[in-house]
Amino acid sequence: MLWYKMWRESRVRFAISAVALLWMCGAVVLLQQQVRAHADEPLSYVRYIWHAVYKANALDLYILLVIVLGLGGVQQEHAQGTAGFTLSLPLSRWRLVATRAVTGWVEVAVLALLPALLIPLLSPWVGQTFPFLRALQFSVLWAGCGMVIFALTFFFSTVLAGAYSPAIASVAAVVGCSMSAGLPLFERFPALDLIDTMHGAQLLLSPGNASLGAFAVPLPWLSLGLYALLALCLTGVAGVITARRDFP
Amino acid sequence: MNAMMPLLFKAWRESRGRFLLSVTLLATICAAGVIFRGSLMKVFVPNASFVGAPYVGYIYRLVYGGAARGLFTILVMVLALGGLQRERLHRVVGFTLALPVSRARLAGAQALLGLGQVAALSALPLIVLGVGSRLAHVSYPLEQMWRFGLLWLAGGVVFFAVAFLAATLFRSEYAALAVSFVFMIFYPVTVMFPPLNRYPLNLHHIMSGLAMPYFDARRALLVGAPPWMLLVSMMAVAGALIVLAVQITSQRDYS
Amino acid sequence: MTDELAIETHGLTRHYGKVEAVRGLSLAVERQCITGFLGRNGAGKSTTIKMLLGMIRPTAGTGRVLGYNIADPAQSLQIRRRIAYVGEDKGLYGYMTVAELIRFTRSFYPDWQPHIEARLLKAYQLPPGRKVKAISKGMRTKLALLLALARRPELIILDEPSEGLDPVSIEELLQTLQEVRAGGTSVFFSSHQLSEVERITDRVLMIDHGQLVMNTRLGDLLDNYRNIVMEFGAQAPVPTAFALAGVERLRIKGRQVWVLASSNVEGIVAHARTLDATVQVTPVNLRDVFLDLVREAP
Repeated sequence: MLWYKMWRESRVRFAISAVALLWMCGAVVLLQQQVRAHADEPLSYVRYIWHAVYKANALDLYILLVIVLGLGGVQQEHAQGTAGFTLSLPLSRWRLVATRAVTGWVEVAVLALLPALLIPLLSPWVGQTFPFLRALQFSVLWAGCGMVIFALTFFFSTVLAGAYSPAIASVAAVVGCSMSAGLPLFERFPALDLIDTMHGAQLLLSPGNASLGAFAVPLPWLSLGLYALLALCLTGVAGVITARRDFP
Repeated sequence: MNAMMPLLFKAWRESRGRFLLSVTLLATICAAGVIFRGSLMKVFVPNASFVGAPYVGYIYRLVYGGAARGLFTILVMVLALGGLQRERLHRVVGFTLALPVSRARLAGAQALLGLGQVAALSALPLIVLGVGSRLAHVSYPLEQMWRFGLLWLAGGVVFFAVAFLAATLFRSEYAALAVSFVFMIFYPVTVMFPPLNRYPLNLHHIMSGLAMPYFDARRALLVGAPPWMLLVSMMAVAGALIVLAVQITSQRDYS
Repeated sequence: MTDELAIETHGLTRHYGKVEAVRGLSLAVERQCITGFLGRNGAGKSTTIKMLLGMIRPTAGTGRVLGYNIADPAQSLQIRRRIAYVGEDKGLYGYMTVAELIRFTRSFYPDWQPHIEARLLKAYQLPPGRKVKAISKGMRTKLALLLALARRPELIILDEPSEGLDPVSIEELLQTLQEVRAGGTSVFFSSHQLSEVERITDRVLMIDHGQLVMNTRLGDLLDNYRNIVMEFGAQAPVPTAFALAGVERLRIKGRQVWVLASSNVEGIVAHARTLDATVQVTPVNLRDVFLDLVREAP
């Protein structure tokens, strides 16, 4: 039932996020003709989708919504006066943290999957095609990088008081990460560029056929592995802080 | 007795953490932009992207038309959240509503303080960049900073008003934040399409000057007279949204 | 409607979806009295109080507090200027210190009494420099009471005021309420502590399932209400109803019948004896009446 609690706490946010993302992706596909007609240079449909969804508005939306999903937790329950009940449940605080983190990651992954489900399905309606496997590759990128953004907010929600300060800190961290990625110091480590990894520009060059190898090879596994590790570390630190903290 | 001062104090105590964090972040971006301009300019304005002083184009790309402006938009929306819906969640709404002040005044005080904070954040780059540039012996036109500050204020007030309304409508404090973020992304996309694209409605563009007649994109400078009508219209829209939120607050049950 | 009453409602109703929290509640609370407002959890006490304060709007019916219409926002403001309220949650701004919250609240009330504030601050041993979120629940209750009592309101509305207080503080609270009543302030308070209510109230209102089930002076209740226990012999038929004046509640178990009578005790006893019952009449306390009225109410 702990899963149910975590789901109930985040389901409104999740529903708003899912609807907004589907709406955005749907609008991008359905309005493709008007936008491409006004583009500065000729744009293939696949490239248009990449520009409009995976590199621009939908990606920004996804990042912000993942941050919103990461908010909450025992610290916020404490502010609302319900932490006493939660902490009196016969569960370790680690389990509370882990359940919330896993619930959040699943929601982040489902959100990442939505464009992959909608865009290939909707494209034939406008006389276009977008390969499902390519869309799935982008979803893997979003889910992997979204996991670390979620973990970042999760961490800030544990260390910062106030309902909204963690959101501000997370947005600042993502902006800072995006800005610093261009610095010479980080230029040698492109794997650390979170936003660029999410863009997945290299995927456009890969063939979109159906073999597992063609699906897996172009993905930046080193970056994704690093982010997964970072996400686990941030969640672990949040867990340690939660486990040791007093909630008077 | 004027009840506004204690209500403003209450609104300040509720939002000061967010506000101070916002000030710190925005100031840090501006200050870091000046301090690390050597490295960052190569990234933000490679190969003489703009005509004229590269520092002017760089500050535009970093602050007035770039990451700092995006961050500012998010910050003003977060500053607008809170209010009686959140107090209900924290079980203090009974105390607030038992005070001998009208709900319109309660919500009005929160909006007033928030607008003051938006104004302070709009003016912040002017202060930090002004002082920082002078100390670093580089120059950015003061008049440009004033004008961009004005554009930020007008745009920021509209984003603030939208989030203020969302915080009034939604019971969940995070749902209001999610809806505000969705608006921030959806709105500029919506106004890209006819018939809306015939009008200067893109708030992000209005704030950055991008694709606007009052902005010279080659030199990254605001030119001509400030778009007073546009700014007044935006203030009016923001005012209408805030009045709507206050009306809803006055009518709603808080059990 | 009359200004003589502190609180007056007619047919006050509040629905939450299909749930009727308060159903056609008509009550009258006299001025300069301590009135206890009793009922089980979920009976509609807090909903009624919130409607009186303008926090929620009635679905139907009317109400007046100190002569002001509760449904009119401007008049509701006048109500809040003249009353003091302590809510059931004792929710106070956790981000303010005790001193800041006192200063904040004081600024709204020209009739604030600094000497009462100082006396209660000392009596309740409240730490002025500590944040409200860092003090105990009992301390928070005391602080809420201080904010309500450090003025000269015409009416004090308290929702479960003694909840979270230690016995010494409860004693002090009861004394304080009697003192403010003596000073001309009306007190309307809800409580589950029947012994407290019995000690200080002049009048008792009882509500159940959103409806008023009793409105009487406490003295009248103790003087007039009686428990009548009837034991019927093996041959005597046990009646299933007692349609007599003064019968408030009737319970039948086997060959025993309990009647809670508010008047006409002699008539009921005489009637029972005509049915061959052995009758025992005992005085009641508030607890007996409360349990009888709310336990079997429809």
